[in-house]
Amino acid sequence: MLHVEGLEKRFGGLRAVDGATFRLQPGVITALIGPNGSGKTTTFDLITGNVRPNAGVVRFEGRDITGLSPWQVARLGLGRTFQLPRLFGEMTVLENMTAAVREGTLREVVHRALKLLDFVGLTAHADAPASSLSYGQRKLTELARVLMLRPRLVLLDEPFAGVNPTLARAIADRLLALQRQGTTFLVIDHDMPLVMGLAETVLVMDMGSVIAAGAPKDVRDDPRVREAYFGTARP
Amino acid sequence: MPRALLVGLALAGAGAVPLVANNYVLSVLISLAMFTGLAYAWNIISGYTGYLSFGQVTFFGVGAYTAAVLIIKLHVAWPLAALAGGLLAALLSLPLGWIMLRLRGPYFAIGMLGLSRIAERIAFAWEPVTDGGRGLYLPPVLDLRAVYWAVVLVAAALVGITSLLDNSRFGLRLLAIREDEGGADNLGINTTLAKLQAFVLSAFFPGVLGGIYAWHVSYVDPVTAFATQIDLTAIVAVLLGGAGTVWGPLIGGVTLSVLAEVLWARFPFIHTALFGALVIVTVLFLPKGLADAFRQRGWLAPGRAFLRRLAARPAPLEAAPE
Repeated sequence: MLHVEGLEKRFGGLRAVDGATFRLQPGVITALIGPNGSGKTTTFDLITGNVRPNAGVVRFEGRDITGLSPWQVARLGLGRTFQLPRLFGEMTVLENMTAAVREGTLREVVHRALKLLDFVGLTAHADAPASSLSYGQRKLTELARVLMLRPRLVLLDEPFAGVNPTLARAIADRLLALQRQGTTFLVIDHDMPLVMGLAETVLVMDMGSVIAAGAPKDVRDDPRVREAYFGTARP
Repeated sequence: MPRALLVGLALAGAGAVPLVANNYVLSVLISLAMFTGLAYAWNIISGYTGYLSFGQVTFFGVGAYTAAVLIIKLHVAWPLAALAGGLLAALLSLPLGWIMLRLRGPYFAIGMLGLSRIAERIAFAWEPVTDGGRGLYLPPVLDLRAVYWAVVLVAAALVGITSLLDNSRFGLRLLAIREDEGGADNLGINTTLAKLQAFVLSAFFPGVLGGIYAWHVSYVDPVTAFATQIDLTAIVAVLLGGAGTVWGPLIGGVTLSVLAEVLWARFPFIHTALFGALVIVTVLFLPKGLADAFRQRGWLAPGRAFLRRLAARPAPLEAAPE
């Protein structure tokens, strides 16, 4: 599905991403965790073309997408959301949902948008300006909006951060429902219990590279992961 | 359809004006329609797309010179010459837009201002074609009616195009770029292409209007053809009326023209100062323009109705997404 190899990005003397390598299996929710500054968001930016890598290759469904523009990556079926939702504030929720969709008649697009708004529980806000939404509603709108593109892979940057536990649970349930229908997810988050319950696979980043990958419980017990999070234990 | 009838009546009314109006009234109306048209053109790249340009007059000047040269040297009929002015302006806007639209925010605004100054310098220097600072003289226009009809036609076309834009996915893409260009990019919108398309539209029409202007005043020189004042008047009209709306430029253009005439007639010495004060008051108290104020009072229907109309009668909902 997604194949990242030797990805590298330097900002001046800082190696933000330093040889990150991993694969995503189709139809699986994978969590990407790691301490602050370990390069998770930069990895997203590199995959989606927002930042050009100094080295490394990104393959999506077998196709080399390294160095493509964000819009080209998005059109291939690889969507993303942001840590802080990037909605079009003065446009309505429905307009946010519709603006970037190219396929289908307008009637079909609006129909699909309303269905997705129903799915995330925002039907009542369809005609509201996006700027009037609460933080949680913005996160949901951004998720619904990226789903309008019918992506096969979605990168979610902290979908649960700053969201109340009930809503976080609701978002997680939506992701599981979408996963059952075949969508692949890569999720950055710090809510460990939620992420561990959601993801089949966990990738751990530290200092710009992936230091561990596997099932949640294996990763949790990995000494390198414990070291990255808590420092070296003294005997 | 009452809407089509309304449009037809408005066009017929506007078209019939020269049958009753004298030349003074026609001159005022030509200027009104000219600046309203320029306001509409500016509204596409700056109001909808959010790229504030202080240099669309570049294309007005290019159109004016193109038409003047074609009329004088090749004896082309003036409406065709004006159209050619628009086409050359549009052609020129492709490479210029490709370069300039890489700039954002204030850098784009200042860059466009610089571009218009360069264009003015070229008009001064390219003497074999432009006759430099002496300018180009065209045969005098005795009948203003045809000029009036041409300008009104262009302005009406711009109202129509803006109305289509406002109710289209292309319009939504432009608004998305205005609201968050990076966000739009990450959703698969080819922002470079959309911006360029908007820019070409915002160059073609000033080019045509510049060509008509050259014919109307029978004279083109670098200072008047590339005057920053022309841009500023269009910008003030849009801000007064409401940027990124269908009716804003018309409301602003008409209000501005009427006020300018009244102030000029009553206060001949300080009318520009009063005008400036008015602009400041508007920006302070009506930052979204008159169109927004009218909407809040229910005098004007909200824009971009096409999605709401479709959403108002949806097909039955199903529980899960596709």
